[in-house]
Amino acid sequence: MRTLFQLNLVIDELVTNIINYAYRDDAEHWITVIVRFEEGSLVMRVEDDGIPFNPILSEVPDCSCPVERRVVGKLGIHLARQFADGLVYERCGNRNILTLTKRVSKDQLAKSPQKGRSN
Amino acid sequence: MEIVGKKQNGIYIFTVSGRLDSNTSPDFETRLLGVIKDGDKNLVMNFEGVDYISSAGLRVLLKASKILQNSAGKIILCGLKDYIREVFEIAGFVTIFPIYSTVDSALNQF
Repeated sequence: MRTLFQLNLVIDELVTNIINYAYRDDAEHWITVIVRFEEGSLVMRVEDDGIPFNPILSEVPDCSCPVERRVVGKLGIHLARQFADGLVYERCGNRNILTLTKRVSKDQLAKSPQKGRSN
Repeated sequence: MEIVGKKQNGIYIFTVSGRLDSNTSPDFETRLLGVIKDGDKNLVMNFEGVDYISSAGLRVLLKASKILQNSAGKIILCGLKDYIREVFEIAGFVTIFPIYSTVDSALNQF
């Protein structure tokens, strides 16, 4: 449950961030999310054609200062980074490509209804 | 997401269930800030039924907490599932919000 929740959260934060900030027009855009299982890890690839954005270089919010100085932003990317075991960013042409890995045990996969469907 | 609110001995208790994400957080914000605007400043958030929270939900709590700072009010959380609590820890929210296991223990803090 914990791993599934974290995967859900990571994809939610990354895609929500793209929808909110990646586009400077009102045209239709495609965001592609591909999840596959590879050598004990779930590998997620998120692609968009928005403005260049490398979440790895995104500023880390100060999570220890008093409430009055906390900023109401950047938390989503921070959470996504913390819950991922690996994160690679590439800019290919007009596309942001983020590849994220998360280690999962066989026990965790056995609880998943998607077992055996990864390729 | 469902939110049920009730006032008990001067403390406003929100019982939240379901998902607190970017779709549902605007409703959560309206309800929470509405109660604060109406003058309540001692709040308990019962999250026993919350099975998902993203940064959108955290932002609402932070916003409410910032407003309550000015009126010496506070929000106490309770009933967080372990994996939900972990999100609060990583976001550094455990230093902003006291977290208790049950509603009764949260109510005793006022």
